[in-house]
Amino acid sequence: MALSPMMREYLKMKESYPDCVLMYRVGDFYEMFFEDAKVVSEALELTLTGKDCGLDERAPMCGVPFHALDTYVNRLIVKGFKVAICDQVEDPKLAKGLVKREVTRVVTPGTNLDFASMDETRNNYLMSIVCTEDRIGVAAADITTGDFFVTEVDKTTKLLDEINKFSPSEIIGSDALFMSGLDIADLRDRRHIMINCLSDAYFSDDAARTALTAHFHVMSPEGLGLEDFTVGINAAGGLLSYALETQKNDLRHMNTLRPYRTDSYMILDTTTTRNLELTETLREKEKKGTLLWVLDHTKTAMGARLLRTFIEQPLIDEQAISARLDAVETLVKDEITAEELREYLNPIYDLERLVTRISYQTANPRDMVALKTSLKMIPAVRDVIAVLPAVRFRELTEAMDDLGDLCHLLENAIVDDPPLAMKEGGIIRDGYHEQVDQYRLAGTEGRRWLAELESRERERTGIHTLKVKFNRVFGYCIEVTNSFKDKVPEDYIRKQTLTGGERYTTPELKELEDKILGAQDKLYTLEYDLYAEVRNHIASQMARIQKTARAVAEVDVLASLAYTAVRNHYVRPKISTSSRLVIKDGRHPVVEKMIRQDSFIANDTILDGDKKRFSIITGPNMAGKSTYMRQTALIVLMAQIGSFVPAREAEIGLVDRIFTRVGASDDLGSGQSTFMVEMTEVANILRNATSKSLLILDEIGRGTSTFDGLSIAWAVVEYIANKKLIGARTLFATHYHELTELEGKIPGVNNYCIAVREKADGIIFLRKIVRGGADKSYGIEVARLAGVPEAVVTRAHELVGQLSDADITAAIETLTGAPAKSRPVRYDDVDLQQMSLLQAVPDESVLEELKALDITTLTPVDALNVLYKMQNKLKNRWGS
Amino acid sequence: MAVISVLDPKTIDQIAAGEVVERPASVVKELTENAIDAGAGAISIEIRGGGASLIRVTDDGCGIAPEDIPKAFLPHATSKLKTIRDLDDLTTLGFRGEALSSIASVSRVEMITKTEEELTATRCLVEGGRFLSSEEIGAPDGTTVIVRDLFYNVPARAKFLKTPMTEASAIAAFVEQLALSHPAIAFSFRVGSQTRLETSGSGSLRDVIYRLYGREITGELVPIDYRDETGQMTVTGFIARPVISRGSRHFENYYVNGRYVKNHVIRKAIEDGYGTRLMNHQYPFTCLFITVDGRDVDVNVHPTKMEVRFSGETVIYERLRNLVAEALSGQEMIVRAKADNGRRPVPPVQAAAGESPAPAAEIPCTPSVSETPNIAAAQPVPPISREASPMVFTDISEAKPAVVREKPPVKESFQPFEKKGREAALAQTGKAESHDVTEAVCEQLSFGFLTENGRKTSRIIGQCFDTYWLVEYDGSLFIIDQHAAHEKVLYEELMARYRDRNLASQTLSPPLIVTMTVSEEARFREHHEAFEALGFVIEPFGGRDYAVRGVPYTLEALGSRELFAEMLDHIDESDRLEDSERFMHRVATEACKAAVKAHDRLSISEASRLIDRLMTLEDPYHCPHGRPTIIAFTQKELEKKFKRIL
Repeated sequence: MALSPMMREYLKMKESYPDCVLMYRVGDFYEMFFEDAKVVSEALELTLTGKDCGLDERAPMCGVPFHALDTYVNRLIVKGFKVAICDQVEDPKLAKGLVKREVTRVVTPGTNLDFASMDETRNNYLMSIVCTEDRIGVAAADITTGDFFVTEVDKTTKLLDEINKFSPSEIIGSDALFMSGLDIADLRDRRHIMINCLSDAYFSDDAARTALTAHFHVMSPEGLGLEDFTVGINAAGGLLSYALETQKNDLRHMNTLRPYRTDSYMILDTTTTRNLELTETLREKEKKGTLLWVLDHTKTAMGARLLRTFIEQPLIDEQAISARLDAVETLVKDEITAEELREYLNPIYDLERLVTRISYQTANPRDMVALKTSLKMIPAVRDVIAVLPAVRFRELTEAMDDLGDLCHLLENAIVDDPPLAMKEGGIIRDGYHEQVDQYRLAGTEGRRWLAELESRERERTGIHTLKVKFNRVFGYCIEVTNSFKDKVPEDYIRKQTLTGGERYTTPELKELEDKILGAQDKLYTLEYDLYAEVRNHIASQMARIQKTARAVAEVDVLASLAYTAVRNHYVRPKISTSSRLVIKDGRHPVVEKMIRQDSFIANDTILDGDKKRFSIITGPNMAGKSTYMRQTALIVLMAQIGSFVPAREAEIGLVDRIFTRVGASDDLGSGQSTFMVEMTEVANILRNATSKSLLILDEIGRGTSTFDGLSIAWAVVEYIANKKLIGARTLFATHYHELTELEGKIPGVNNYCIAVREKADGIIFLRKIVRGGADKSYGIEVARLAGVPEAVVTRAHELVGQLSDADITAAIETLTGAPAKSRPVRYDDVDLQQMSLLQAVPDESVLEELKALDITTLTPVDALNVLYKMQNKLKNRWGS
Repeated sequence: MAVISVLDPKTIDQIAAGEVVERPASVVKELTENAIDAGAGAISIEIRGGGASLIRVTDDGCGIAPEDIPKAFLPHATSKLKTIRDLDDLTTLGFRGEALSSIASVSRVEMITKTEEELTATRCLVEGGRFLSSEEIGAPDGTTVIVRDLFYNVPARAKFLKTPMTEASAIAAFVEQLALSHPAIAFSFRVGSQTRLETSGSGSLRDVIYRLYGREITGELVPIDYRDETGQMTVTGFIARPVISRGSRHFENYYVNGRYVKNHVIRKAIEDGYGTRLMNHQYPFTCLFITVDGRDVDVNVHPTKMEVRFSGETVIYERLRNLVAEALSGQEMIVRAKADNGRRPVPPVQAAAGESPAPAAEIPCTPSVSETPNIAAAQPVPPISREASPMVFTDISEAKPAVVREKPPVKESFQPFEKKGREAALAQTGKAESHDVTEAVCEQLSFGFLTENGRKTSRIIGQCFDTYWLVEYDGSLFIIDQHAAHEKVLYEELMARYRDRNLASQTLSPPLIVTMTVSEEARFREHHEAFEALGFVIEPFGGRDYAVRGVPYTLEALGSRELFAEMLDHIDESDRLEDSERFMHRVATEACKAAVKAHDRLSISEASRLIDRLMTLEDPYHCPHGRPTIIAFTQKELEKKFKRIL
């Protein structure tokens, strides 16, 4: 017994695609055999059956119907498989022997073209990485939109940032990838990126250069702007070759390659993007509750994608930012025009992906109508922005091609409401093509003639109830009821018998029928040809459409930013290259939308890069420190995107990078201890921050013992605040209120704290940032608020007085030179001066305080202080 | 014997409160005026339960210092005046010192306020006039006043509150006025969780008008900017071209010294300024801000401060009227076409919404080139084969010459009537009046000429415009829309037969072959039962062709391709089969509309027969779409029009 010929073919093909699931077209099904069958049937929960293959045992098999291919392919992709699709490439009816089969497509996550399953507001990137000793080439492309980028970085950390930015669904590279220092396992398992190791051949200099020059029709890759990106060329070329191979299509729609420098944008590392919840919330990984959610009022899919890109790539060039702000301001000032613009943008479909489908020849007539509808709105959008004063709009008007010729073509050629199918006619408009009209007329006339045949036959035969009928199976025929059977003339040929009568045909009728049906076939074929012609013409004009699409996307984003600015009462930030970062009455853009309207308490931020460049913020947890710090970062980011900001006034000195070190989120998953992760991030920051960076540091030193942590935190403060070392603008929240001693000792350091009002029975959060250091951490009060039993809270109060609180303070004074010349302002003092009439401090609490005092460890100075405080409290009592 | 006693302060408050706090809208008014006086740049208003359960007004103004708070709730305590002389120089809105105390005496008030200097905000609760508590909390700068359970302690007054929706509307109307008069303040108005109004506070009145009233009105605005020589009187704002008009004064708004008021002098001045540019009983859109010297206007006329009195009425009247007239005289009065040369297409969705419903059967005045001569469709006809020579209708052959004969006299007798006059006359009747007329007609006709006796004593004068039949009877002139009447008759007959399951269809031979488009085909397939139920017989005939073998009895005009296609067109996808009766109605309506198209000229006898059939119906006065079939003028009304009698 030997393997059947088909099976032999199958196995041979499978050898070429060992790492893919091979879906083999057999008749109306796509089938998988042997190992593939077992694996897939389990993964997709399909029935595992068997097929005779010529051997003793049946080959394991599972299959799916051909029309459901895409659904199943998608499910496999999501599960991390690669799929090779093998089709019958000749008509089975005409084949002699075995039907010829070929792999027509290989589908991988990065090369998936199933638009229906895609999120239209996101790009789907395929990324290619080539590592050499000193440089790493990175290329990223979205095959569905035609976007293609290339750059180079010099460190693994920067590589990670790029990966983070693009969030690709698939990365390809050679073996060198595994030696790049990237944690491949982490990328694959935690972030669900498929890592494909390809042979070096893809990325070799020759292969890459050839691929690029051939595809883009240039003499050399330098012609594409890649002079400085030698390794980038390898990456880009490799990506292109891979894409071409899997698509088996010339990828004409990928007609621009955009090299960029990573330093032309603000660098946002992974943790920052996550911590600031720019496009995804920390916990639910959703859009609601992110900055994107607040800003996104775009009307087109392209605009939504571009906005996401804007947020992930804030600018650092003053002019470019001002240009965007000017454009947004124009729309903010003219509500009526802005509204009109958004109305015109609304009906525009996803031009980028439509064009791709057209180029792939998978676009159906309805897609063309969608394109037409979109193109119709282009002149209107253009007219609106053409008269707006901002320079950016001027540029965008230039970039927008009217595309009127294409719109007319579509209008004239295709009916308003065509079917989905391409080969069943009903697509081409009357009057577009003479032959089509004629065929249609022939069809109609033929049918009318047939109908008239009815009257004539009735007269001829005398059978008044004779009918000419149509039936899908038998075609046209003359129907006569039984009662008139005998009157039927000679030339009637019986075709079909019914219960109540008979159906006949005549030679004349047959001839006519053939003509009609023939005409119909010819009509359908011609319609399809004409349709394909229109489609191909549009495909040839792809570049124009894509250029316009990008312009429209940006108009949409600018309009969205303006809309948000007006609705949320934002203000235009003043951008400068100085180090001044001064925000008056700033608000957190997301939080203010999530809480009750108008109840967000605004705060100022003052970081001037000089005397006030490092803010130490103390105060209890839950009081709003994190929100405050995050809002500062977000306001800076928003300004550098070109958006207005939530504040009364904002002066933004440009920032080259934002670093955030905030709490422990999902670090548990990666198997490292919290403290280790924290230190790794701190190390990253200390090594990479510049004087133009913005640092947001929350609770450094928390994961270890008090003394270690405090010491580390202290040292970090000294290092960062030192202008010769870093000198970056920093917001440093800490639970070590001992660090408040550093104001006055280290230049540039200032104390702030989050205001809290202490009352007899608890504390209330004022959510205001004020000058001065908190003397107490109110940790115990927070515990009480959280519901910790009263007994525990009281005991803690007792202990806190006794513990070495005083010790640490004394120790610090020794370290820094006691007594300090200019005592830092203590919050308690501030507290006293502002105590108002309305605050009642009963006698009892003062007595308790007295009772709890441990005099044995008090220094004379402290004793005086305490007395002073108590006296004040008593004096300010209500009524006295 | 009853004893006279002095009322205690609380009761006094509550009574006085009644004048100030009539309803939730008054509360909103008082609170927002306070907010404005506090220098707010943004005011947000939220209500629930029409304002009866909750009213919240938040502003970002100067706030109230903690020591002043207790005083704020005292009656007759205000920061806005010190002596009566200050009334002359009034620049603030609130002044009578009553608002907060009045409100607090009839509700549960929570106030949270913070000045810029203070670190903390103060939150206090006042209930029914009693100060309950006060504490420090964290809050943004400004003041929030929350009024809950209005009139909880005066149930009598609570009973007089209208429905929450009505109260909410009153508040909404007030907030609109406020937004218009303060374009530099950003307002936000929420009812429950829905945002009803938002303005940007950009300072542009035009923007506010756009947000409130939409693009159409904004497109017709004419700016007004006037300052008199002494600088005492100014008038600024916008009025709209007369093309924008309404049947009520809802859009005729004006403010005096920043206050929304009503005043007959101003009203008259504006309306006289428009003069004949507006039709009778039509009022314009205006948004005018008039400032006069504080001494020339008395605002203390009524506690709600809605009325004002001027000292120099004539001057104000004349100036204003001339201003308006001048502003309008420089303007084009022609109604503009909507599309700008087609360069700005209306986005598809909008177009669909904005399209007027398909005009009622546009009757071509020339006899349409029907495929079959069908003049006698008005008459019940037995199903016939088309093959036979043109219908054998002895009536018709008689009628034909009748038509020819009748025409010239018809035309002549109507020459003297200017088309304009007639149209104007018809227009003047307006909707309300035609309705009245129909009522009157109903009266008449119930024992009028539609009855047997009536028929005999009525006189058909003739037909005009190939559309209307004029009938004189019993001191009235009746004008019958032939097509509406015909449609109605056909429709009723069709529906009657449908209900009786007496569905006759009229065979078409040869059958009509129709090629449907994809969507038409889909629609037809979905509803083919309804079609059959009405008497259509339609079969597939290859490809997308269908053979129409039968049409409902009496609607054989539908045997024409154009009409059938049109009928299909009008039955759009929104008609679902859930309510088959309604769908039937739809199909029938369209069918009849189409049928009637083919018939223009009826002879007198045909008209007579039509009227006969009309009279057998239950409601002969409306066509299936609700339009009237008969309009009547009594002799008296005609004479009034000619001003023969007054």
